[in-house]
Amino acid sequence: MNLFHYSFLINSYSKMVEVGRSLQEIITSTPGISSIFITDRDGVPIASSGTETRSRQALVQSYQMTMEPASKLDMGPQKYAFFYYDQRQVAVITVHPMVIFIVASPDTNSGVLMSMGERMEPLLQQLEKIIGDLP
Amino acid sequence: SIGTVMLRHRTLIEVLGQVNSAEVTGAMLFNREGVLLAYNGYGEGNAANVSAALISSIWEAFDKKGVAGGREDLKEVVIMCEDGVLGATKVANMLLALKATSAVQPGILRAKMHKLSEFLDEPLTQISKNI
Repeated sequence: MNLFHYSFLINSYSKMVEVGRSLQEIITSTPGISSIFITDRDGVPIASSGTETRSRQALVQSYQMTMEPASKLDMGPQKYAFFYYDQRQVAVITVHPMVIFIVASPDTNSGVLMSMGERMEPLLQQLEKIIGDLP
Repeated sequence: SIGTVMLRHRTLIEVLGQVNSAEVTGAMLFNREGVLLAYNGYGEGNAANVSAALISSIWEAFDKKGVAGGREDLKEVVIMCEDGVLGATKVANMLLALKATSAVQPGILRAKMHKLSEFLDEPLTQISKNI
C-alpha cells in the first residue's frame, strides 16, 4: 500500500464518520426512532447508528430470506415493508441499490418512517459515491 | 366433540368479502403452514394458494425476531410494492391477509385488517380449541 492508498482510506473513513453523524442527527431529530442501519442488496452492512441490538443481523438475514417470496407476490418491485412487534416496529425501505432498516417504537407514525427514504436520499448518494470510490 | 362447533364456510367467505372495496381487492385466511382456509376476491385459479404459502413463509422469517430480547412475537406485516399493498396479521392460531391496490392508504388497510381480525378472533379461537 502506498501513500496514495493511505490518504484515500483516511479520506473515505472521515466521510463514513460524517455519514454516521448524519444518521445520528436523523435519529435524535425524529421521536421514536432508536436505530437506523443500511445494507447493500446482499445484506452486507454499510452504515449504522443508534442503539446496537443483537438482532440486527437476524433482521437483515430474515429480510434476505423474504426477498424471493415477496418478488413472487405479483405486485412489482418492493418499496416499503413494515413489521410490527409488541415493543418495536421495523421499517425496511428499498432504495436501489441499498436497503434501509429503521427500528422504532410501535406507536411511531409509519408514514413518517416512509418519508425517511426521501429524507435520506442525499446521504445514500454520498454513501454510494464513497463505496464506488473504494479501490 | 366435533359436532358442537362447526365452521360455516360460506359465511366465512362472506365475512372476508366485507372488507373488499375499490382499493382493498382480496382477503384470505390460512394457517401458519400456508394452507388456505377461506378466501374472497383472489379470483379463480391458484393465486390465493400461492399467496398464502408465500405470506406464511415471510411471516415465519420475521416471527420471534423482535428487537427487544430477540424473542418477540410478530403481530402484523405490511408490504408495499409498486403495484400493490399487502397486509397480514394473526387471528387465533391462523393468519389473515388483505391485499390492496397501490392507491390504498396504508392506515385504512390496517384499520380494516384490525376490525376483521377482531371480528373473527372469537369464533376462530372456539374452532381451533375444538379441533
